[in-house]
Amino acid sequence: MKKCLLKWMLVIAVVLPLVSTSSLSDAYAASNDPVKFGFIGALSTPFGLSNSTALKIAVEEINEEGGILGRPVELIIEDSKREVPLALAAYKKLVMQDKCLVVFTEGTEGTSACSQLGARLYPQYPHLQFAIWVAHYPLFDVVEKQYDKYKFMFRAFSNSSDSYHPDLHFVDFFKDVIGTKKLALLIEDAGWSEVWRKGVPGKFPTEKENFEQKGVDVVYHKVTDIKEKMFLPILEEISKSGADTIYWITAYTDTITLTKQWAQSPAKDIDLVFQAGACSYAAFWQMTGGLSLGVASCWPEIAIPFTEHSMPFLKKMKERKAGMMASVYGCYDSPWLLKVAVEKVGNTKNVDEIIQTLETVENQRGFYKLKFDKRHEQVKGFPYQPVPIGQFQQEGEYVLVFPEELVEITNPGREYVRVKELRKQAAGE
Amino acid sequence: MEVIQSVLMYTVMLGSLYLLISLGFSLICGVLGIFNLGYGITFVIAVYGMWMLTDAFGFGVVPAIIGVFILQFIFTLGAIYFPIVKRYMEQEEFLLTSLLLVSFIVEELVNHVYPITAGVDIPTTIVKGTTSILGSTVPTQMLFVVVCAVVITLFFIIFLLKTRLGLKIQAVSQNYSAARLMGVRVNRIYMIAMLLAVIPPTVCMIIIAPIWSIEPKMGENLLQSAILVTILGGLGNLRGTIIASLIVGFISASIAFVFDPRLVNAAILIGVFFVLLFKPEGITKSEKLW
Repeated sequence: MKKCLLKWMLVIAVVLPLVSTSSLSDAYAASNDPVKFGFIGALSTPFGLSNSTALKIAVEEINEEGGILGRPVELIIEDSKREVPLALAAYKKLVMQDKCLVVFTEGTEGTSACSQLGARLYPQYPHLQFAIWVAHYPLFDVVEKQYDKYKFMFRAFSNSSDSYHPDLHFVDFFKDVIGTKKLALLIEDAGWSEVWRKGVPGKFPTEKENFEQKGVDVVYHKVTDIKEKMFLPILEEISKSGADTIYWITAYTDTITLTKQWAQSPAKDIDLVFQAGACSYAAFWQMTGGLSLGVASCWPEIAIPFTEHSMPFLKKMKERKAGMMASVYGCYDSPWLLKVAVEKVGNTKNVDEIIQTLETVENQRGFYKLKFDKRHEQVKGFPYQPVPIGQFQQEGEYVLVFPEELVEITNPGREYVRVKELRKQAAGE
Repeated sequence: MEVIQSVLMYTVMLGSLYLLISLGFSLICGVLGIFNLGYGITFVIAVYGMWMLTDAFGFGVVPAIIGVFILQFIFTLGAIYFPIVKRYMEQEEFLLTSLLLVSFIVEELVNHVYPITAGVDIPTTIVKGTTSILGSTVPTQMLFVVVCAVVITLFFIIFLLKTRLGLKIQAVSQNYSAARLMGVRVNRIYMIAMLLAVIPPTVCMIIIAPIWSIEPKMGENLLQSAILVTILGGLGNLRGTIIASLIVGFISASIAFVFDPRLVNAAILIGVFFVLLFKPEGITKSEKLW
């Protein structure tokens, strides 16, 4: 009996230190292992370049400020080349092999497919998906409708359907700032613009109905091909329609060619507003050889000093030749919100708890205040997500003209000028 | 009546544009008997070469235009003709792959050095503003597209029909072996044809740059248009290319004004399909250059 007891004591004496050393080394390793972020995007496109660069800068700065829970953050970037199968393969690798805590996905089709895959992987590989430009309407309120399945998905930049959000006062820009009475409304034919074109019965009107319900007369309405290069026939028809403003809902449309042709068409004195595209870049002025005088666009590449971190970030983007576009705001700010949530939870293992925390916290780093609503969509309306609109004025100056609160902190006293007036000023009349 | 006038006006304008885009491709098809899948890069070199000369080397507009033609000739000989075409002329699969590869490499390099955010634009506006003709108001610059298309086409026709060198080019296009037996230096003719083929796309880009976007991947769409027009016209037949350009211009204009601009590309493809269904060789016989 004594022998047996001694034997057991010996075993315990030998094994216990081993076990504790092993636990300690696990704990040590866990505390120093990097927290992994993944990014999937079309890296050769301006979108992919800008989004990945913004994310790299955010990760570098987080590491400079001590990482997350004292652990460094590692960013793994994968090129989807805008192809869904490649995006899916990359997503699997990042979640299953690299064990990323969060995967940022870009592009409508790729992001939608990754969300479906992520929902299947989540039970075995708990992770987060931060989606940039989730445009398909079916994913618009999917988190709210099927919470358990899609709770891992957050929108680092908004679903385009959320542009209808009343807190953005978008139609007011046309009515009150431009003074639009008769509108020519054109919408590019793409997956992301489906809600704008067709609406959602009982939920969203079409964009045409939206304007008409708010008192703007839509006198010309067309859906346009994203591959279109010859816009002159359309511009000719618009000039005959009596419209005083053109609102062209674009993202993939060639806004450079369109602007060049608009400025040399009979529609040149009709104000032109774009949704997005190359027109958002400050370099659009050079791209169009100065023909973009008067053109307005959402999410302009204008340095808006939201916080002390805005300008240094924008400087870094410029140094790395990455253009500033709407989704960049989300790519830079959302890792900081995640850092806040993870540090509140105290570990990276309990992803369910991180999700619940992400639903309650808010943070402001480089730009507007970032907070998710119950759909995991960004809360709208300044000081939360606004829709800034800029206009090219004399000498190619990109002037912020909407919303008023941001105009005040960016270029106080400046306002939208109708294109006819700008042309007169340019001619020295 | 107004619509008919607009359709007529745009048929001429767009037809001229398609002609400038596809003339060089058609010439190479006719003389060398190959599909130059690297043709799209000619458009890219035209605009980015000009931008490089004006922006990085400080050239004025006219010296830059001369410079860009020299650049095109050097590129055509140094990167296309000698290392690829001359070497792989008899091995079509290598030839086509290499041509495509070179065009992708150049496209990627251009995208790296001058991404879209670099704001590339070349100041080649001849006359600013608009002009009203036949009830349509169009950029005056577009009228120069018509003028250039007519002048270059006339030059090609006269050159091919009236000069000794032109006749040799025709001979090679009709019967390569017979031309060689008659003492024509075929390789030299190939080289000249390739140099001539860069003229229309270079002029085209210089003229349309003020009303067209400049982006590194622009060559792909323009190559597609060139292929489509050349197939419709009859491979390598310049007369067919002229007619096909006007047909494609007419389809574009009529669909845009009468139906829906969104249907233009589909209508062109359907139109070409039906023509080829009844005339598989294209509008004209493809054995001849003219």
